[in-house]
Amino acid sequence: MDIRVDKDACVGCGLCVKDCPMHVYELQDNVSVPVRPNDCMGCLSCHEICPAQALEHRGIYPARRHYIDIKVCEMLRKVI
Amino acid sequence: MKIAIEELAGCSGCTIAVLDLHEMLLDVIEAADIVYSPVIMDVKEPPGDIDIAFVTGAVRNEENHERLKKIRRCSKTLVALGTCACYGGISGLSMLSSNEDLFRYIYQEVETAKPDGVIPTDVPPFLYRAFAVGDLAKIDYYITGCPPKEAFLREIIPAMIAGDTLELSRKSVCSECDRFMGPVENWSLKHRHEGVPDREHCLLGQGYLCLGSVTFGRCGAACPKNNIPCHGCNGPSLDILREPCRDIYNMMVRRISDLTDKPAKEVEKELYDVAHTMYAFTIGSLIMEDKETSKIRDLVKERGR
Ligand code: SF4
Ligand code: SF4
Ligand code: SF4
Ligand code: SF4
Ligand code: SF4
Repeated sequence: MDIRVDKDACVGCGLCVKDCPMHVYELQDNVSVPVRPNDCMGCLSCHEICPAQALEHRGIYPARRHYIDIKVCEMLRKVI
Repeated sequence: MKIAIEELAGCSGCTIAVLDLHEMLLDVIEAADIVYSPVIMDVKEPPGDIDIAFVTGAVRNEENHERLKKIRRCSKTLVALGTCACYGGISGLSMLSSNEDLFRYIYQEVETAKPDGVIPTDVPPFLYRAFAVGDLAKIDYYITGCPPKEAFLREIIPAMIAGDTLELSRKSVCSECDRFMGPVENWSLKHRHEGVPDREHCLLGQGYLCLGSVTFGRCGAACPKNNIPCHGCNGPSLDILREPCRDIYNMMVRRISDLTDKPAKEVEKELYDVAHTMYAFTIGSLIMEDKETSKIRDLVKERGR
């Protein structure tokens, strides 16, 4: 699993360390490091909790999504 | 190229933010004519052939609504400028009182009210609620911020006029903040006026209600860098806007609870004045109100009338 952490964005809160059911992350010098990326099961809980949107999992998409309102989609595309 | 700036229910701060481009304004007016802006020039009505119109402020009365429809008809591209236009902004907070209470307060109760206390009848009637402009008209782009910050406008306005595209971060305020978390022990919520936060650690971890994690960036985390918690003036972060089950309130509670190991119910007990501390900039937005988990409906019901 290719997990990237945006080091500039990460505030070192450790919420991903706490929330990841597979213990993928560790905090090192106030930055999260995915030390066991191959254990990741792709649940993306870490994305949801990260306050800085610092995490990226290459090539994973949530399998089941809530329906997103068409008005919201319209607006999302236009926020610049 | 003709550009215009229309004013609805706002404070005109967004137009002043455009003037804050300072000497760069000279480059802007070299490339484009500003043909209409009630705040900065004496032209009463927009001409019909505007290329890019910026609309600032929310829609709160009938005149705002008419002006919004007119500027839409008159312009090829319509840009919502500022958080009032994008999400209702502080103008939306007026929904916490009934229209009668608002008029009574403004024309009779404030110190500066005229002694005769007459509520005028020749002002545009209020609508039943506030609206973000996108709730009522087709908008081509949204630029958030109360007001949008100068450094951001310096990038975006010339690019818009030139028709260029830009790569900009789409992350939250936290991603631009230079604080780090450090240990969180014995957490309890502090009011903003209590104590002086230390400059190194995350304000949320120190007990202040910093909305950085639920707020769209672009301000360079201006407030946390000046030791003030973010109060959310850029509107919601895009993950909150996007996901139907995420909202400002529930994500703040979840993050505080995870951070402090306090049960969510305990965290909720400590929160105060949720309308002003969490939804100060989004209460007038239908999109934010329509989320399943939004507290806006309850807050408006509770205080109105
Ligand atoms: S996606 Fe799930 S398993 Fe993978 S790192 Fe994130 S929280 Fe852990
Ligand atoms: S949750 Fe985000 S900000 Fe916090 S440590 Fe993990 S990557 Fe960094
Ligand atoms: S977004 Fe802020 S600065 Fe702009 S009009 Fe509204 S209150 Fe004023
Ligand atoms: S919550 Fe506030 S202080 Fe903490 S990292 Fe985010 S913006 Fe900075
Ligand atoms: S830190 Fe928050 S309140 Fe301050 S300017 Fe940025 S978005 Fe607005």
